[in-house]
Amino acid sequence: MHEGVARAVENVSFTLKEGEMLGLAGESGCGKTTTALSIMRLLPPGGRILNGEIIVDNEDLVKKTDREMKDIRWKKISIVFQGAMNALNPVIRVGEQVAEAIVEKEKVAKTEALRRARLLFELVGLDSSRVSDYPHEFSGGMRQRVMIAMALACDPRIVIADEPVTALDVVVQTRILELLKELQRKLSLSVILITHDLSVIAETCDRVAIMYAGKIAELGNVVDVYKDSWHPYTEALITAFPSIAGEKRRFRSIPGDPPDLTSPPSGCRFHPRCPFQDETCRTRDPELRKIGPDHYVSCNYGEKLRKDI
Amino acid sequence: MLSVENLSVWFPARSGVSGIFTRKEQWIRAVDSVSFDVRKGEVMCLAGESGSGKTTTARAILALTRAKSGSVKFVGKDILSLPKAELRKLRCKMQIIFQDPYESIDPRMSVLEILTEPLEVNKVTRSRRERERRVHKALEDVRLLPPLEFARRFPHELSGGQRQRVAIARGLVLQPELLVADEPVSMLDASIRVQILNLLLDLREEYDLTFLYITHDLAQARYIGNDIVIMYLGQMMERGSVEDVVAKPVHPYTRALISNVPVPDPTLKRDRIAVKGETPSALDMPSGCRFHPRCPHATEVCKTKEPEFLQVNGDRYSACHFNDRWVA
Amino acid sequence: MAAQVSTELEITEDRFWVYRRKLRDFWKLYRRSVLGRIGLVIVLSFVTVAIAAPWIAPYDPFAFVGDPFLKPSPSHILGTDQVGRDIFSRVIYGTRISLLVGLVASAMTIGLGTVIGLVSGYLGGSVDNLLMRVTDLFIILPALPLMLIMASILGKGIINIIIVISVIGWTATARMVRSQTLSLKERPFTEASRAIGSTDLHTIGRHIVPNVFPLVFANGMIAIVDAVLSEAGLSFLGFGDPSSPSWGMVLYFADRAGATVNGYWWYIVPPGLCIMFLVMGFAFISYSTDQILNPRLRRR
Repeated sequence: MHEGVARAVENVSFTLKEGEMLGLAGESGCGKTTTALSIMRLLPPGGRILNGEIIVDNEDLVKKTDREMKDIRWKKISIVFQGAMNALNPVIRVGEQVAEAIVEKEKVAKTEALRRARLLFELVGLDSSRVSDYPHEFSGGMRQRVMIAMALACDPRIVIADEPVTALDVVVQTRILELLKELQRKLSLSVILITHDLSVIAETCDRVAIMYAGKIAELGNVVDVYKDSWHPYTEALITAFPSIAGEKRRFRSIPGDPPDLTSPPSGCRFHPRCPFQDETCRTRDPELRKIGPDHYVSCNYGEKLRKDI
Repeated sequence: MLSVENLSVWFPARSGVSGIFTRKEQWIRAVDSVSFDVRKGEVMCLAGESGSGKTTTARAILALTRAKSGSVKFVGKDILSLPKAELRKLRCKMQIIFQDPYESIDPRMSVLEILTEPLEVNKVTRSRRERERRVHKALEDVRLLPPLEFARRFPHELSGGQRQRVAIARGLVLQPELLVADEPVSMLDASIRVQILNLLLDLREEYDLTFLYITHDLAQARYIGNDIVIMYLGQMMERGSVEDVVAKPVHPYTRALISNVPVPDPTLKRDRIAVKGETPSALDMPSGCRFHPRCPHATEVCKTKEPEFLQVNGDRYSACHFNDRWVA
Repeated sequence: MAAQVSTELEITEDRFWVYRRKLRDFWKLYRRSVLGRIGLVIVLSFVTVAIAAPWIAPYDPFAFVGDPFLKPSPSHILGTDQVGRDIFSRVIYGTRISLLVGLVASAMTIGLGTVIGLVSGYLGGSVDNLLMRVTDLFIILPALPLMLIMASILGKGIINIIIVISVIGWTATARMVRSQTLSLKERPFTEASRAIGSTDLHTIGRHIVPNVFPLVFANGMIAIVDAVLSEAGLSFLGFGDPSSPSWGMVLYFADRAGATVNGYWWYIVPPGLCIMFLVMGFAFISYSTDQILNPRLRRR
């Protein structure tokens, strides 16, 4: 174990269109949650945004002061944290917890906030009379709906959902994902869905950014990235994903372990595990470049590898 | 190799304050009459969601949890009725790999200590040299190379995948015949999962091991399993070979489960079978068929009468009053 | 290949090697803490004084070496007490007693508390119930009056003081250790230990005890503090052992001599300061140790 500076997120660029769901995929430690927290300017103590821009509605969030961010959080962008559904205060009624967000942000009276909470419950598919229940009276899926209601409390334009369905049973998972898609449609909401589960992204997102060791390996339209992967990591990840469909055969796994971000590999961060690595990969860290109308990859050899694969 | 018959694990539940005073006992029927056979060298999957009782079943088979009734025959002996001393001797032959690689190995012990502990406890080796040889072999088997380097490390110096390999090595060091794996890859990253799954398959081939693999992920079950038992609220819903059950499920629960499992292919259009509600708590066990409150095809008889676990064809069994309707 | 294997592994591993390495790592971290070093220096100084007492002290602490109530002077650095004994020597020899009682009493307290906590936590059921009700009993009874009653029943004597302190003090440790044991019992590696065929005793010894140890050690330092203070208090109140002059006893005699009333600060202040510094030393050690053993406390 050592201390040092971990370059958790390096040169990450992507755009999110209105009413679109973008998936941020990657394994633990790849920087997806850090990216999300950076957007919200909610990095833990010790974390700093070194450079870059986060532009929402023509405003750069990186340049905002804390006070200005307070105004933006929840009203323009909100987030459903990972495991938040288990962090509800057990001794306060859920309706009040949702209303709390509204009261804080919009300075309305509590009765008004509760009224809006009831409407939010309906929006997320919960019976509005349940605003006066306590968290333990809800099942896992319903608690997650409460968290979504909370995130929608101040009518944001963007919602970030960090692993929203990982802890849920598979049939509940589908329903929550369907809810997100429905909200996306109804409210013209833009959603950033963060998860390590590639199959969830395949089925719900419009576009996807595959992250590895703090960088984006591949970015683009979901069909392109999945069906026509250019980056060796993407390709390996998608083909080596046990699935209930497709042919049953032994997969070749990616050798090695994800790198330590306090001392990342030289050159391309994926090179130690890449079957195609060579001298260039060991020295040159590739940039994200465009390879299609909505398809970007950061690999030194994208083109050459397509022919070899 | 392993024959489980009518295994039931019930936990006593005392409801509220009155429970302390009255002797009336309510039972949580965590596992109810589960039966299956596992052939030597095969991988049997116990699949189910949270609350299905799959983990409890596995624990009961290894006698880590007390079973209420039933029998578990392993190498000709009924584990559940063995005296303590004999049971401990039998433990060498059946080992378990836990789900959490961060918690299942003692953080204060070095890898070498973790791997020699089973050998010392069971006194199976006579000399230190032999112990070291076995540890060395186990580390090689799980591909933690060079073994010397890894033997001296501590858990916090290892990655999740490496820790899980240590846990597997610990399971191997006693040279068992049966390995129970409780969601061994659920807490690992996607790129490591296949590594570990492949490792398990390799080990099975090399040592002719028999596996009892517990998971909630049907994709994993399909990748590694030969046979599968689908569990819900403590009971078996369906049983058969993995390929068959996944391709042509019979029981409504299995059908719903499979239709809802996402697949990493954005172009595949699926028909999702909607299931209402969530798994109820074991204290509030539904009457009749346990799945009836959520089943899209429930009828009157489903509410009152518990379906039998019947043969559908070949080695396929399903517990639904309307099995015939679903057979393709 | 086989021959190569055995020679390689033989070099590195045995349990003592693991302990030595852990100790070395611990020391590296401990060295960095300023408070820890100060605490260690203080305690070690007192220990040195205690061991070297016969050589450091100018006089026999029991001997009458001068006129009573002499003020501090070059021949009697802290003057003499009411019967003409050298106070400085008495304070030096007092280090032995106070330290001895502190260490032995706390060891017994921790030992008793840990065993009870482990047994209670691991076995559970009726054993746990019984032991905890006994513990509750001891907690309810007010400490100081109980100590005084026991002291008066058992009579004077250093051993009795140690017994009294231990009997009162084990409850906190017992509860804490039980609590830790209960949570450790549920952790997968404990279950894994059972799965590989260990006996309960083995599991407790190999898995639970080492993981409870950090807690017990930190608590142990506090127990020493408690013991030293309890002994001082008991002695001061007159329940101590006059033939074993601890700092508390010196203060008792000082009080009997009317030192407070007459302003003989050289009689009162030194023993008081000694108690204070010794306790402080152990407290600092406890603080630093806790910082290391409980990683969550470490500053980012």
